[in-house]
Amino acid sequence: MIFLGLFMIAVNFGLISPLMVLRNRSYAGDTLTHLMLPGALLGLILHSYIPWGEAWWFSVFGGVICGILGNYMIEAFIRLFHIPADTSTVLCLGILLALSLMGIFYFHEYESFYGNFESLLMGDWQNMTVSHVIFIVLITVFNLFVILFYRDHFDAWILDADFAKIMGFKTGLLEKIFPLMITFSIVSSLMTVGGLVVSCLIIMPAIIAKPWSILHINCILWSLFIMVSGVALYSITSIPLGSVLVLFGFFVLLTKTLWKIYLKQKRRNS
Amino acid sequence: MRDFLRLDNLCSGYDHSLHQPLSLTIHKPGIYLISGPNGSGKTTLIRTLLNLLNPISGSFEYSEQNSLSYVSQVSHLHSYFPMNISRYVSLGLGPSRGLNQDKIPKILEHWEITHLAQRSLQEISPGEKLRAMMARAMVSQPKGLFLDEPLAHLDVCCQEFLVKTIQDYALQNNAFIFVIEHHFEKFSEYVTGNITFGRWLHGEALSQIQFQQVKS
Repeated sequence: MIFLGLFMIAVNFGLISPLMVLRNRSYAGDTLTHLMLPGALLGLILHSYIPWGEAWWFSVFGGVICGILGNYMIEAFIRLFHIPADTSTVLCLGILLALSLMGIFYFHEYESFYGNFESLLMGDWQNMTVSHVIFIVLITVFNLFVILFYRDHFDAWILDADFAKIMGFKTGLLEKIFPLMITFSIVSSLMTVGGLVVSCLIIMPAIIAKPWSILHINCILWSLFIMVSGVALYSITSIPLGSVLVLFGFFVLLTKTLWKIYLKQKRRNS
Repeated sequence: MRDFLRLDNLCSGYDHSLHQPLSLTIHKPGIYLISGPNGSGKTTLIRTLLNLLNPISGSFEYSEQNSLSYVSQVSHLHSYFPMNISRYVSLGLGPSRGLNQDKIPKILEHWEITHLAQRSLQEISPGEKLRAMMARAMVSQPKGLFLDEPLAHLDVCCQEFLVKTIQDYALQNNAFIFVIEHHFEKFSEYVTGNITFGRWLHGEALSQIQFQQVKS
């Protein structure tokens, strides 16, 4: 069951990766992860008082609420303080992270909370539960269907939003659905691979594969390759899975690039 | 001849109007040149006519459900998406493109970019990019085509090719082509109408906006 969960996370990252990179939203993914953190923490704090069911549900719920609220906060700050979007984002992140730190300061003595909090940051894939795996599968299947069904719409929208709108592509729908896909993808994998690396991990397949369309099988294959190799490396080294995945992904990217340069040089010489 | 487009005291802009109210009727197919100083609202006007912006005041109306298309400035093209030219052009057919795939080779040939079909957008020159953008905009054979500074990245020979091609297209398809351009003097013989924006500062018109039908 755990391996099904990891497999689905890899497929999901392979699906979402081109969207994030080609739409120039890699940084937004990172922002979103940080925005969700206080909500996820609040969820865990609540769970330590009301130990109902599994803790990750509380963190998912809190994370999604906080992610959406954070997005609204950013927009509100832009209008209220007349500041640029990136400034407003950093301000929001600062405020929400400050609240998170307060939460950690006051609640760190609760053992159940601290254990879950560590999972949130570092990842805890070995303790994935059946309901968590089902949640990940549902998110992945949803993303797969949306991307399969609206592939041309996504390509047209990302390439040239104005032209796509004029030609009748469903840009309005995509603008609404895109943040949801990203939010749920991040929140579903937060406690598995860890909040510290999830945003970097999501963009890795698209940087390596350089996709020419939003649905690109190579992205999914690279993502699966990184996941399988990462788990194998974890079993040897016991380094947290998220860190292994990111560092191995970067190693693959570097190797692929150097190999390409080598081939180009060889062709030039011959 | 039926009107293609009617503007009734149309003002376009973001927070406030960038130009004087504009009223005109366009009924003769051909090339319409939109010219005027920087910041006078030329691009904003065509974005309004393409329904990308709401008018500040006034209204405009197309005579029927006309198909429209648009070529933005080459510099606005996505700089990272490595899509190949063939797929890029096919997106110009809109969401139901599957039915008209046979048009792609023809339009690529028409714009002399068949040899680039499998090349990525990142690998070609700005002039070739513009040809690909033109092919994408015209593959659906729109009735109205809006071009924003199309000559900027072309050499003299290619400029002539482009202007002649859009002129032929307008005549063969009874189409209306609106071109924003600062230096169109060499091609004035191809122009059917001129919309010249005046100077406009702090809500005051320093010179008038003019519409002139050139050819009979």
